[in-house]
Amino acid sequence: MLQKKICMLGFFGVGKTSLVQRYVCSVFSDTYLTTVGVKIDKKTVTVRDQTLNLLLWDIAGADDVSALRTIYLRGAAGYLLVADGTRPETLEAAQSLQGQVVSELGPVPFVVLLNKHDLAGEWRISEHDIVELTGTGWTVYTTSARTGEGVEAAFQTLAECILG
Amino acid sequence: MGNATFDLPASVASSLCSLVTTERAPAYLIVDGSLTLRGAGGSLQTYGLEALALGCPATEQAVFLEGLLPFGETPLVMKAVEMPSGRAADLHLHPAEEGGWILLLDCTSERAETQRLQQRAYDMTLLRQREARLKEELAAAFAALERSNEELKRLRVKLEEENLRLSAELEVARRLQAMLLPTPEELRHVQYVDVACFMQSAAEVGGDYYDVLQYGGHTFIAIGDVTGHGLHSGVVMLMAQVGVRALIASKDSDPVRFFQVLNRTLHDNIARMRGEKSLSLAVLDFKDGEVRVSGQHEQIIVARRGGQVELVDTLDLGFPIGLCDDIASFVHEKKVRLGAGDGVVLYTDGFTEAENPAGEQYSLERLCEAVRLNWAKPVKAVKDAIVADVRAFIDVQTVYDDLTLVVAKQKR
Repeated sequence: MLQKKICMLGFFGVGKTSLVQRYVCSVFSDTYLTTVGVKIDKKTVTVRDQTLNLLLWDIAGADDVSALRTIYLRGAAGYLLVADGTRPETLEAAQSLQGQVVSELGPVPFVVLLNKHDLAGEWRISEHDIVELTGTGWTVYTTSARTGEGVEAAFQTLAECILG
Repeated sequence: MGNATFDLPASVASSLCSLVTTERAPAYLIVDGSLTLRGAGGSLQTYGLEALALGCPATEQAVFLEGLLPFGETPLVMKAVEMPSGRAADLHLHPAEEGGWILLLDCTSERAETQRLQQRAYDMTLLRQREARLKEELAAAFAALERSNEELKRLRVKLEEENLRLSAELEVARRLQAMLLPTPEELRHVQYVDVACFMQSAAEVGGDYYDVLQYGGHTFIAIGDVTGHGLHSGVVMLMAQVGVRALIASKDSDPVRFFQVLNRTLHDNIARMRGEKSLSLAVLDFKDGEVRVSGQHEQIIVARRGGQVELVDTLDLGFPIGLCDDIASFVHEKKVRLGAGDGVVLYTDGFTEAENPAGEQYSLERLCEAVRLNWAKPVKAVKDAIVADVRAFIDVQTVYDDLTLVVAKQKR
């Protein structure tokens, strides 16, 4: 069966692990557990009648001190760039990460996830910001690992982009 | 063996090997140039890889190798990769002539320790960020509160100015009401009846009106009450006083014409004032032991010499002045004979509706009883007794409306 490696990238605490848990196991936990190294999960999807194994590399989040370990990106067919909609600085970090990823992988498909959309009262990314992002050609989803909003669609879109 | 490279004695090298074997649970995978798994060994069960099938594609047997094969030109180490068993391993990928091999070294404890430290650091950072955001929100809320406070101050100043203006208006209304009342000198020279009057303005002047006039051998007593409070009501009361006086002075004795002209005048003026005021008004015409009553106001108390009281309903004698432009069809006249010592008591609803601290109204019944008990006295004493009775009833309760009372007794 066709297998593709997909990386989850983003600043720490944006919800990468929760998104994978929601997508693969349909569960969500409020407890924040930081990821060290990488966790690998598998999800089988169907794209245009073709079955595909997505190998989801949930990579430890970047922070102000630790740079992205680009070695984890090796062989990735695509990636999800995750930001926390309640922390605008994580979107800036995601934009910076994207530049590093392009240097390492070249122009592979990616989708941007603005996560934690369920926290409406704390949401800090405006519609205008989102329009600007999509204006640059990025595919952007507002997501919530808690409610599942946008999660399935974001992964599916990336899978479709990978298969071209 | 490494001991040659690092120049380690055999015993040290053996100890090192033993240490790695026991603490790092080494396992290996051998992959050939066609990416087929050719060999595997070591602590494979530590990583959940004990069921590997040799001769099959390596990435199907060990999915974590997807994307990592084929091997690069140089060795690489991928730290802390979670294996199917849940344990973490450092992956050492070594290229060889045909394919290469992967060494797995357990790092679960190291990962746990790193996670503990990293968790603390990230939790702390997230808390600090949250605290900073809360401070920003607090500062914004405080600024909004300050703005609201400023707005409140502005409104309070405006309200104080408005109160000042209203107080000035009320003072003008109160003076208007008082300055045109009949003087004691006038009352002393009234023909046919002895008259005693009382008026007390409420805090928000209510627009009560009464007058005692002497024209053409007749004695006229008028009493009325303008709806509402304040300057507008005071002005309507003033217009009514002038109108009534002018009409009485014109010696037109027809009540229909009297009320029709007065009503039309006030109606048109009230329209100019863009107010919604009206006036209850009764006019009593005394002459030769008879009183002719016209106009709609409160019921008139007729007191007989012996203290018996009768009520004359004025509901069918007129219509509120100023409410519509034609009231001719509503105006009628009623005649009441008065013997010596008989008389009338006129009042505004401030009296009958005055409340005591329990919220009860003084009522027409109590007023009639006060008249009955005191009628034998001179008119001023009757008036004083009724006022005292009402005041005792009201006690400490606030008076919300003007109080007006006119006592007129047929002279002997």
